[in-house]
Amino acid sequence: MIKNILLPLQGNMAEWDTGVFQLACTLTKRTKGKIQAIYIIEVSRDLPVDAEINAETKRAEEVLSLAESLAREAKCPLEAEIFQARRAGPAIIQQTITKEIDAIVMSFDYEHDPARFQINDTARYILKNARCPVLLWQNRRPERFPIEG
Amino acid sequence: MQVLILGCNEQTHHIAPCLVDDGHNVTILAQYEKCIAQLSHQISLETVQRSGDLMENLQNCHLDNADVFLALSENDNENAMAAQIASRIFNVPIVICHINEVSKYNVYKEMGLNVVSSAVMVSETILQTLEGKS
Repeated sequence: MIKNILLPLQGNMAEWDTGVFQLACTLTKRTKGKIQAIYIIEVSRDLPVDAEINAETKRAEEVLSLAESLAREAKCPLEAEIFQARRAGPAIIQQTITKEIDAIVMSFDYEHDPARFQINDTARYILKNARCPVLLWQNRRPERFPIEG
Repeated sequence: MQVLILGCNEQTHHIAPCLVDDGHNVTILAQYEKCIAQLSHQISLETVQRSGDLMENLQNCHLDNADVFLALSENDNENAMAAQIASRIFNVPIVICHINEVSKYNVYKEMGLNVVSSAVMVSETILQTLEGKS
C-alpha cells in the first residue's frame, strides 16, 4: 500500500505546476498516507556542501511554503524539508531509504524544443535507481511555446 | 476481462466494439459527452464522463479491478500519467499507452511503459512495404 509519498520539488513558485501536488495528494488521501515534500539545493564543488546559499534557500522556502499551504487547503498531511547536496538524484534516492518512501511523484519541465523532448538527468537517475514506483508528471507547456496547427 | 479505456475518439470507436464483441466488459472514461453518447448508443458498455482530477476519475472507474487499461486520449501527457498510475500504483496487469509525439514515445518506452504510437506504426508499415518492393 502506498502511504508515504516523496515529492521532490525544484525551481521557483512561478514555474511550479501544482498538478504534481494534486496527484500526490490524491494518492495519499486514498491510503490516509502522508506527503514528504523535499527541496534539494544542489551545491557546486567549489563550496562546502553546507554553505549558506541565501537566494536558493529563499526560493526553496517559498516553494515548500506554497506546498504546505496547498496541503492545508486540501487537508493532505505534508512534511517539508530542505536539503543541500552535490547532486539532487542521489540525495532523493537517499531520502526514499531514510523516510521509508513507498512512491516518488515528481515533475519535469517541458523541453523548449518539442522535437527534443527528454527527461532531465535527475529524473533519469531516479528512474534508474529508485526501488519504489516513480510517477513522472510533465509540467504544463509554458505559454511562450504555443502548440502549432 | 475488465477493460478501462481513457479517451473517446476514432480509436476508441474502433476498438471498443471489437472488445465488447470478444466478450470483454468495457468502461470508457472520457471528456466529450457527445462522443460517449454515440458509443454507448452503439454498444453495451459503461461510460463515465471525466471531470476534474484524473486520479480520482480513475479510482471512480475502479481501475483497481481492471485487467486491462488503455490510455487512448488525445493528450500525450494525460495518457502517460494515467498509464503510470495504472501500472505502478494499481498494478493493472496489461497497460497500453498511446503517445502521439515520437520523441515522447521514445522517452516513455525507455521508462518501461508499454507505449504505442500511430506515427511510429504508420512509418514502420510504410518502410516495411517499401522494403518488400525493393
